[in-house]
Amino acid sequence: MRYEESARRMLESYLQKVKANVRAANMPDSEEIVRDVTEHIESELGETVQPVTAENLELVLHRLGEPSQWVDENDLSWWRKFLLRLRGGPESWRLAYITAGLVFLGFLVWLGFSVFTIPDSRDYLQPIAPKYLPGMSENDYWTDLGRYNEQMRNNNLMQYDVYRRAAYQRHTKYEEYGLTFFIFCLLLSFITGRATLSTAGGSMLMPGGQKWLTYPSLLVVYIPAVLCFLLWPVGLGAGIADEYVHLGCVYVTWLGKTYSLFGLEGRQYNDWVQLILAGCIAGPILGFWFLVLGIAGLFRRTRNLFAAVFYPFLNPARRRWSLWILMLAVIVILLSVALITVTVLNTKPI
Amino acid sequence: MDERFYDNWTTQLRKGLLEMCILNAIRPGRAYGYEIVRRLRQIEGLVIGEGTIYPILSRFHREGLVESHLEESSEGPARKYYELSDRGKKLLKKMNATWETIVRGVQNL
Repeated sequence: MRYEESARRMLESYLQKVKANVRAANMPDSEEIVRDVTEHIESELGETVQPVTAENLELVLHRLGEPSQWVDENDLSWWRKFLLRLRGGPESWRLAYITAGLVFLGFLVWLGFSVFTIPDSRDYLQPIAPKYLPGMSENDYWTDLGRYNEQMRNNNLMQYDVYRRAAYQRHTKYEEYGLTFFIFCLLLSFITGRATLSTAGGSMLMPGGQKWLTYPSLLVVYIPAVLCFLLWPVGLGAGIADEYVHLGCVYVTWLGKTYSLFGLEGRQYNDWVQLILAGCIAGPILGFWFLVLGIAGLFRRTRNLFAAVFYPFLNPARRRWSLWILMLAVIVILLSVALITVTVLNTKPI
Repeated sequence: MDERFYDNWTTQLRKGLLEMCILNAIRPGRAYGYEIVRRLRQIEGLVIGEGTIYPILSRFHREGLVESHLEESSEGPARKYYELSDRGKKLLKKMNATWETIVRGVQNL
């Protein structure tokens, strides 16, 4: 069979792909398969005018399909699967790998900036973090850490301490850079994670491997978000209580008399007073907040909204969780009432 | 969503059926690769990438379900012919029986 030059190149490239994919699947008779495919192409083109043009060949190759799709994925080793998916998709797998890769990269940079060091030309250990970050010029860095090492060798304790502190501060700054980068990567991976879910057509259609690559990124954002959303009154109560206790003004004046918790004066306030005060403030707000959430959760539309935000971890069909929150609301309100009663009973004049 | 679900379902169905159909395509007698593909083309939508059948034929050969031998061809180079082995014939009989049971069951639903 005679081919035009462009057709011959196309055929060679295609047969190379066949060989590569069949070998990737560990098939012992890859040469036989290439032979079968060649025979197929020649049989198809048997009646076409020669030399075979690229257009005619392309039609036959199109019918044969992409060799990467002939091989059963289960026959491939994990790293071949990884490379094939990264190179040729499907898009949901690419996104899943990017999602997990971003978390891994962020963690590696954070760890690298904080922990790993390499010796420089003077044999001083330096962090592997890049020197071009703001406030991290090579000179500054060397000045601090290099002098610190030098003073340590010379046993000059006074100077040693000054440079040690400077180097420590610089190192802390490296850690901050690393942590900021890690958080940025986590947020980015959350976005690609949601995109993976969308591209895969929903969590139901996602294979287990994709879930393992994607869900951690989602949970890292969802868990703090859920905790903040549910428990913000606790933070509020703790903040107000802390403020009052530090100002030493947890008292009320009534009918000419000044009352205080347990009859204590400002300077006598301790952690327990702060805790009780925080409970008295946060308890009723938390109880009321749970009540609102529980009642809202009884409605299908609200559940759909929550489920959309925290997809795929919340099933909108289940009303049970809103009943649990309502029950929790009742418990928190009862405990708050008990705490406030005990506190009021123990409020004494000072 | 529905479209994606349908696509996924048809892909799985095709994947499951293809092996049985290849064996059935060889059942009447020996056939070479391109001939098998031509027979399978009669089932619309079954084979999306025709090249898929070659790794499957190779696996059948390794597992002893089909036998192959080269034969000279008047139209060109020697052709590789595939033929069901005794094991292949027995297995195909069982596969066809299972398929018929399923089809009958689905139709009676």
